[in-house]
Amino acid sequence: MKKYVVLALLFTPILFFVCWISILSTQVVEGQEVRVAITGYDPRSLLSGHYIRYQVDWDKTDVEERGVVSTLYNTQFYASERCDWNNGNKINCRWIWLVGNGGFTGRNERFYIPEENADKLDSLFRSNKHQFEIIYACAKGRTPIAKQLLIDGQDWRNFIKEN
Amino acid sequence: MGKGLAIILGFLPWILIFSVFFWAGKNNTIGKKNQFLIHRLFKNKLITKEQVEQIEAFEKEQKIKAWEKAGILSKEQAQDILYPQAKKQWFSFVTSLLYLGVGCIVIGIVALIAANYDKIPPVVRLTSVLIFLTVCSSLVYLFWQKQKTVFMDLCSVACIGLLGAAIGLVSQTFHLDGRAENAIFLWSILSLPYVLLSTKPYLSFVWYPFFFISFFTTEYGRKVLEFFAKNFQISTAFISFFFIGICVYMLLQKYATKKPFTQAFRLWGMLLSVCIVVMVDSFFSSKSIDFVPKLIVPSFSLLLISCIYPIYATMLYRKQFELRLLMFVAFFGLITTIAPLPIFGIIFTLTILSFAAVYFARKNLLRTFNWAILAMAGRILFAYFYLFMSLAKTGISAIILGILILTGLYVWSKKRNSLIQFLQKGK
Repeated sequence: MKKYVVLALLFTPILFFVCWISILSTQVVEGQEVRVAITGYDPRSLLSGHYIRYQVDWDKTDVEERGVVSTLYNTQFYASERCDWNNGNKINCRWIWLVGNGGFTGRNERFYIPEENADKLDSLFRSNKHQFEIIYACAKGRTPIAKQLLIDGQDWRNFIKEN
Repeated sequence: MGKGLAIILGFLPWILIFSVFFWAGKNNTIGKKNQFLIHRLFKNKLITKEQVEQIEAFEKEQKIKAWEKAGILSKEQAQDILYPQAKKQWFSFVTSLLYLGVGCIVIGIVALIAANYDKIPPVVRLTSVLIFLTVCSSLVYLFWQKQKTVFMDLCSVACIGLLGAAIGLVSQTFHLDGRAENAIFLWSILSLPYVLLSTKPYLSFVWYPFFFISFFTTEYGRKVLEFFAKNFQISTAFISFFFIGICVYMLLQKYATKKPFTQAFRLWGMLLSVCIVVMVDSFFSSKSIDFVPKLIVPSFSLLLISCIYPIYATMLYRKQFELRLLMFVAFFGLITTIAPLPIFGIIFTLTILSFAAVYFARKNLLRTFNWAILAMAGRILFAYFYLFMSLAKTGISAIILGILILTGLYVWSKKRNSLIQFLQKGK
């Protein structure tokens, strides 16, 4: 094989990584931030590391944030009133927000955490006393990237330090 | 059926397989000699096999010593020619240790990344893995130019490991929620250049199933399979694709590297055998199944495979190689059967592999020797994760272990003669 071909072959993967990292970094830096509430996660230990898997809780997410997602991803958010009935009268009425297509063009419901904090975060979640949120970096037509994990509005690192 | 009978029936195939191998090992060397007179004397039973070997060794020694005396050969060259097995075995052992050292470092890096070592900032982590990758790729190119194939393959293995680490690291840094099969597919695509450049068939042997299976788990791959499944049975389509893929890949490799890769076929034969053993073993290892079939079924499936191989071997007139394969299947089967046991597993596996390594070294079966050593190393590394119970600590210790192995090898290669002298004479 000619040496230029070998060189091209060998450095293609590196070039790929440089491009991939650049695209993702641009999205993280320049993407529209959306803060969403999350539920249901469990830390896991795989070769790729410890991560939490969650689901976006649209009901607990602010209307404004839903609006941003709606504009970026052309997603159908709509509200419907749900009530309990008592002797023909509506009681306990609340607005339920329903989302089409899962909210984004692609799902990204994983947040990697350091091994040493996995147990602590797990017990915090199970205590059910705190609100967990994710800040996404969103760009039109691309899967959102999770930028930050918040516990009671604070970055999870600060929260763990203080508690 | 009693447990005693089950044990006898379960181990019978193993005994048979090992007996066949030992028998073949005793009888397959003499046919290779091309010296007509000695061969004829042996055929007519006028001299024994041992005498044939002694005559040949004597003649060779006389010639080499004469050449050495005449100053045609140096002392080292004469030693290497007279005792080629010792040199080959030494080389094989060093290569195994090199792979082990590099493997330890790469696994250490992967473990460290998997631990999401928070003390290293993401920018530094991403940059350092790319720098490692660039240095390793440059070394592959350098060794390719200098035609140092062992080092080239070694660096290629390191590069492939680092590519996996880089994919994991990017996913981790940007919190990407991807499927494992897609990551493996991307990994296999990116590692193709290193596989194509490699001089050994092992890399392609490992690469192909990862590429093939992960491709059919991607969205496009599933569509292709579904399309064919309408007209064929799904298994037929899958198997057909598998073999068509092998052919395409081998052609690609042949024309890309100008090297025929007939060995890949044999390796695939071996892989299929090991797969059957592993599948049968895992199926019968479930708790609901009784001890008796659990022991007998994998053993007899092994016996079945060992019957297929001699037929194949007779067709190809390559008995020795096929019997090596048989041995491979035997000890890999043994590992998969016994290894899941907690403490006894590792003790048993290491004991069996040590015996196998010694046996292979004595029989000059270098590849099998290498595999035995690497399997031992793999089992030890697997135990490491349980020993340290922390990915970060395991990663750091694996990197240190790898560096120690490589440093030790370097010192040994530089000071080999003086060290041997020291050990022999105490100087």
